[in-house]
Parts: sequence; structure tokens; C-alpha cells
Amino acid sequence: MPPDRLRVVVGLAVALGLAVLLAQPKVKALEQRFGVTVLISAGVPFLAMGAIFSLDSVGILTPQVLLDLKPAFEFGLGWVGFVVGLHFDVRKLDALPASLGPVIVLESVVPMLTTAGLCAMALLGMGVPWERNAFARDALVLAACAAPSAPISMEIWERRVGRKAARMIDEVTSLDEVTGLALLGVIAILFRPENDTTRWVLPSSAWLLLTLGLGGVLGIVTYVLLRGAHNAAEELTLLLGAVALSAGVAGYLALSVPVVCAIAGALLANLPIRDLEGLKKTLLDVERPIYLIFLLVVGATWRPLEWQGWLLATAFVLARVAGKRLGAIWSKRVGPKELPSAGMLALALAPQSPSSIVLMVSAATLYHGYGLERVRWVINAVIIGGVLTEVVVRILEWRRRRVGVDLTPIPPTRVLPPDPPKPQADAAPVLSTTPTTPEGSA
Amino acid sequence: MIRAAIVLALVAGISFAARSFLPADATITGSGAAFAFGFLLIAAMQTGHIFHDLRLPHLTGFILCGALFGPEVLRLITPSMLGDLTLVKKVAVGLIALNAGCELNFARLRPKIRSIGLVSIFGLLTEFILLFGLFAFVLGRIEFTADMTSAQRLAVALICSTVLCALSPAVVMGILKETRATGPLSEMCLSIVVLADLAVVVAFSFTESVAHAVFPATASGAGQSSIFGALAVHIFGSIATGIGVGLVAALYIRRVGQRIGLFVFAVLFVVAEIGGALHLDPLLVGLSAGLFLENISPVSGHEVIHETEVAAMPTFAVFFAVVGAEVHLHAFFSVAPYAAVAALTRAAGIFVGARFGARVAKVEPAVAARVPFGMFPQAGVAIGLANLVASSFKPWGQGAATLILGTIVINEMIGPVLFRMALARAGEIGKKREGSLLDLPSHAPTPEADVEAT
Repeated sequence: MPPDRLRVVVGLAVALGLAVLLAQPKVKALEQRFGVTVLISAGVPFLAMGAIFSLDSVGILTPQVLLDLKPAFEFGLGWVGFVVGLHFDVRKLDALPASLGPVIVLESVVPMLTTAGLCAMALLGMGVPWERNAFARDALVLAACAAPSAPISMEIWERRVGRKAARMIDEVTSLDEVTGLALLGVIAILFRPENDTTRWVLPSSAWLLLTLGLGGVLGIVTYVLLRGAHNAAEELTLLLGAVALSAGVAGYLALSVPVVCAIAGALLANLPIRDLEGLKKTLLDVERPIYLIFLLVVGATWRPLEWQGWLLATAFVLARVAGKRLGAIWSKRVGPKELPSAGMLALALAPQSPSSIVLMVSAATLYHGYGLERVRWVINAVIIGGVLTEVVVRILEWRRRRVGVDLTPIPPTRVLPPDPPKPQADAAPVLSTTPTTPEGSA
Repeated sequence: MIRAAIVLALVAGISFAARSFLPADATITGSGAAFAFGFLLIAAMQTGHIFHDLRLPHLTGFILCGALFGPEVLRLITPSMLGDLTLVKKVAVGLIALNAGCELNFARLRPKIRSIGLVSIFGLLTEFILLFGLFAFVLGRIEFTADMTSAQRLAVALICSTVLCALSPAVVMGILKETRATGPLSEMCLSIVVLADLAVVVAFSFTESVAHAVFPATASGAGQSSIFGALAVHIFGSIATGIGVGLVAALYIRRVGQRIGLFVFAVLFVVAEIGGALHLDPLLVGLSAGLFLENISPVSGHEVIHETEVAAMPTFAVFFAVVGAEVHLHAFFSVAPYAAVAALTRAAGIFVGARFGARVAKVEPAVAARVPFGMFPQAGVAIGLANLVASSFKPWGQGAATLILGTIVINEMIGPVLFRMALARAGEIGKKREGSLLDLPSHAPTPEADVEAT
């Protein structure tokens, strides 16, 4: 066997094994305990591993291997899209306080606006051309990645702000990624591949209808398929097929794969299925290894020595944290009175969600080989931005702890007994796992 | 059936519409593979349901679905998409073989080993003799052998008849899985096809070396010793690798014991990747690993079967759909009369030989009468050997492969149907109870709803 081939196989097997190991509940429990996101606990090592594997001297993640991995990549994007969509259960949304809706919108849209503005300026300053709105596309991609916040550690935040407020923050973090996905869908519609490579020439409005319609039809097909399953094994088989087909068709039409799959998943979540939680658990079980493999592949295109990436990362972090803070101030005015102080809300929502990696990876597939160096900068900005945000959050927490105002734990007597264990709540909180309490629906 | 037909039409409609986005000769790597995988999986499952309602094997439905939507008929799945699914196919072969190996317990089979041996030997020998006679007679009338000497024609006949002796553990395993059949007939058929296929693979290596001696120009410059060297790597290397895989799996199951299915799948993926470069046979590797686990290691092979069961259904569906999509229908039509005669001759050889062997071994008459039906199906190994003939023996290899593949198409389509009928007649269908397969799907009504309904 050629040594280079053996190296590739062994390298990928090691990465796959590590991804499965780092998805173990023990690792997640440790993250919860220390209040760090998957980006820090496992993401950075995987990113570094991807960067090392792509070195010519190592030769594991070669361009050909990356190309070979593309089917799995697309399937993973579809899988995560379904997971996001399944959170969008309208029945559960109805049970939320009405004033939490504006909070979700503000906490995702304001950071998107600040990020788009500052990053667009940074990109233009770096010499990205005006032609074909290149800078706008990059800025919008970064804006989409700015929206989602990492799931909070309920254990820590219940102690800090009380159970009710922690639950609200948890709901916000589970729904704000939908806004990012929506923007990603818009990017896929506005920036289409060259017309001469395809047979269809449609206006953007038609592509919008097509995205929505395709997602809806695929959701119905998935539902009909699952309804026809005779046993659990067949159900899983059909679910695999539905995710692959949805991802494949969306990718084939150069639409955003997670967006189309999220629409399908959302439709599925709102149709009568006995064990929706079981279905979500099946999907969530594989979510983290998918993130980690994405990071590995993203690491292969990561060029940490490019100054543009660092500059963009700084702009991204500043704009995003400022946007979250602005959104928090505004939210405090319009949101439920149980929300914590604006400072605490901003602190809770500042860490970047791992789903921003999915948004970025998906956005990178929409460049159709155009502006490859800018794809690298955007990747750098999101990855480094995620790590820098964690550092900023730690510093802010440390400062607040010194002042001793907000981060003083609520006395134990006021802490309510913990909820029953929530399946995979740490990876990406499932909205519907949160029981609807009278206080929550007040 | 109506639901399956509607879903199939809907999925096919969406897929054809999506395919029209790009020119016919264009494909997007990645999207094409995910698309093909998803479509084949769903379409095969729906066709399987339709076939089930028609009392035909799901597996035949999978194959037919692949053939229909494949590159030779409706062309929804392109050859490049199929190329992208090669790895999936290799992993599937490994999993099917692993399952087959795990089913075979030598201690349990020991009392029957004489019967299995005699049925296999007589069945294969009669089949080989009749096919060899047929090809020796027919080849003089076929275009690609017209300029050959008699010795050369006999060598071609030797190659063709050896390849067509191949049986199909994958199909037999697939039918037994889908029908949940168990009993003396199931056990004997599975044992025979596994052991006989091993013998055919070894025999092919020898006949290949004979053919290379008769056609020195087609030999790739390799001497006899290197042919045997390659044989040693191919067969013994695969077996050794399989034992290694079994050892690693046993250690993992004993020491870790978590996510066994995922681990086995990851190992099979690595084996499929390495095997391609090392010319290892995924069938032999999987089979050896399964036999090791069931018969030597302290781990039960049934534990592995149970843990990989959830993955088995999509694996089988995609594997057989891809096999169907790879069917060379044009090749079949060009040699249809000869292929039909060859398929009939093969069936007659198996029927007469296996029944004679069963009588000599004093096999129970009910089993003896039906055991030949388990030997009719052909698929993966035979197709693999035919492709090897096409690539190894130029210029005539392509013609011989066309003839062989044409015969395989018939056996591939009719074999599973006949085997399922034999299992039904033997009353073995549905005898195996597997708890996990009976788990309710997520749409099933709750017990409370049932109570309310009543």
C-alpha cells in the first residue's frame, strides 16, 4: 500500500475516533461544569489538527481527500439543518412569553447588523473589490455567523440569574440560529452561480420560492416516509435517506443545504409524530461528531499567518460583542421583566455557537470557487472570533466578579431543585425538552 | 403499496426536476453523491415495499430500482455518481460478509459439515462441467473468439464457467435478513454459499493463471510465481486482515463495549479504503472477521449482528440498488440468447448436482429438494470477477465479461425470487424474532391512544 494512502486512512481514522470520543457525555459534562463551549474544549484541537493534516509534509488532508469528503460534508450540513429545524416547534413557541420574541429577534439581528457594517468596512479597507458585491457577500456571511449564541450552562446560569431567567436565555440561544440560517438562505438566493453553467435562469424571487417550496416538499416527503416505516430500523433508514436526498437536491441546485433541510425539519417538527423527542435525540447524537469533522476540514483551509484573517476576526468580535450588548440593552426594555440585567444578558449570549461553524462551512460552499482567499479570511474570522470571544467573556466575567455585583451566586435556599436530565441539552438545547411551566408561559 | 408507489413517484419527480438544473453530462461532486445515496435509499425502500406486497423479495426490488434509475435506462443516476458510491458499496460488502460470518457457528454446523461439503462439491462440479461444455460448444460461434485456436477457446470457456460458478452470500444473507428466516434450509444455504464462494475465488485464481499461460500476450508480464504471490496476498492477506479486524473488534467489545455498531462501521470503512489499495477482498475480510468473532473469540457474533442491525437495512438497500444500477443492460441485450442458455445450464447443473450431493449425504428430503434454490442467485463476487476478466484479458476479456454479465443479470433477477419461494415453502420465513426490529417507529400510536381508541 502506498505510504501516502496509508497516512490518509490512518489520519482520518484517528480523527473520526477522536470526534466520537469527544462527543461522549463525560466531555459534555466537563464543558457544562467549566462553562466553556465545544469550540474551546474540542474545536481548537480539531482545528489545529486540520491545519497540521493539511501541511504538505504531513499530506493527510490533501485537496483530493477534501474533494472526496465533500459528500459526507454535504450530508452533515443537511443533518445539522434538520436538527435546527426540529427546534422550531410552533406549539412550544406559543407557550413562550410573548415578549420573548422581540428579545430573540433583537439579540440576533442587532449583532448581525453591527457585524455586517463593521466587517464590510474592514473588507473594503483590505481592498476587497466592489465588483459583483464581493464585499457585501463576505460581510453578510459574517453577519449570519454572528447571530447564534452558544447554549448556556444551565447549572452555572441558574446560580447566577435564577432558574426562570436562565431558561429564557436558554430559549434565546436555541432559536437565534434560525435568524442566521435565514440570512444564509438569502445569500444563497442573491449570489447564484454563473448562468452559463446551469440550465435554469430564474430571478431571485423565484429562487426564494423554490427554497421555501423545496424545503416544504422535502419535509412532507420525510413525514410521509417516516409514517410508512414499520419499525425503528426502517425509520432510521428512511431518515438517513431523507436527509441525504434533501441535502443532495439542495446542493445540486446550489441552494443553502442547511436552510432547505431546516425548513424540512421545521415542517416535520410541527406535524404529528409520537416520539419527536426520540427523533431529535437520534439526530442530536451525531451532531457533535459532525461539528468536529467540519472543524477538521475547515482547519485544512485555515491560514493563521494571513493578517487579513486576524484583522477581520478582530472586527468580527468587536462588532458581535457590541451588537449583543446593544441588543441586550434594547431587549431589557421590550422583553419580559424576569430577564437579567443587560450586562448579564449580553455576557450570557456573547459566546459563539458551534452552529456558526455550520453556517460558515455552508456559506463557503456557496462561493462556487470564487474568491478563495476571502473564504479563508472569513473562516479565520469566525474561528478565531469564537476563541477571542471566549477570552473576552472570561475577562468580563472576571471583572464583574471583582466588582461583585451580578455574578454573586443566588443563595442556595432560593435555588429550585434541578430539572430532570435533558437529553443533549448542552450540545444544542432542544426547545421542547424544557417543560412548559406556568411561570414560563406567564 | 399505493403509498409506496406515490412516494416513489414523488421522490423520482423531485429528483428528475433537480437533475434538469445542470446539463446532462455535468455533475457536482458531493451533491451528486449525497443526492444519489438519498434517492437510491428511499427509492429502493419504496420499491422493496411494492415487491413485498407482490410477494416478491425486497432485494429484487432494490436491484430493479437501481437498474431502472441507473445509467442505462432512466439515467437519473450517472456513472460518476455511482463512482462516488463505490466506498459505500465496499463498506456494505464488508458488513454483509461480517454478518454472514457471524451467523456461521462451526460447532453447531459440525454434524452437518459432511452434507454441506457434499452438496457444495457436487453442485459446483456439475455446474462447472455443464457450463464448460456449453461454452466450449458455443464459443466457436461468437464473434470475439472467432480468431482463436481451440486451446484458446477452451481457456476462455474455463474462465467463463469458473466465474459463473460463483454464488452470492450477499443475496442469500439479504434474503434471510429481510424474511427473518431461520431453519435447516436457511442455515445450509448460507453455509454452502459462503464456503463454495471461497472455493470459487481460489479456483478462479488458478484458472486465471492457466488462461494467462494460453494467452501469453495478455499477461501483464508477470510470471507464474507473481500470480501465486498475488493470489496469496488476495486470499490469505484478506483472511489475515479479517482475523486482525475480528481481534480488534473483540477487544473493543470486551474492553469498551459502547457504540459497538459505530465502531464496527468505522473499522469497515478503514478496511474498505485500505483494501482498495492493498487489493484485499472486502468480502473475505468481513467473512474472516465474522467467523473469528463467532467461533474463536469470546465475543458472540450475534452480539455484533445485533449491534449493527440498525445499519444493516440502509446498507443492504443501497448496496443492492447500486448493484442494480451497475447492471449492463445493453451488454445483456447483445448476448441475451447465449446468456439465457448459460443461465439455464447453470441452473440445471446446480439443481442436478446439489440434489445428487444431498441424496449421497442423506440430507432430509424437504431440505434437499430446496437447497439448490439458495445457490441460484449471483451478484457481487461474480460481477467483480467478470470485471477482473475484462481488465485482465485484453482484447477478448471485454467480450467474455459481456457474456458473463448477461448471464449474471438473469441470475440476479430471478435467483432471489426462487430462493424466497423455497424458504416460504420450507416454512422458515418469519421464524427469527429480533426484538430491536420490532421496536415501534416514532409515528406509532401510543398505548394510551390505543386504549382510547378501543
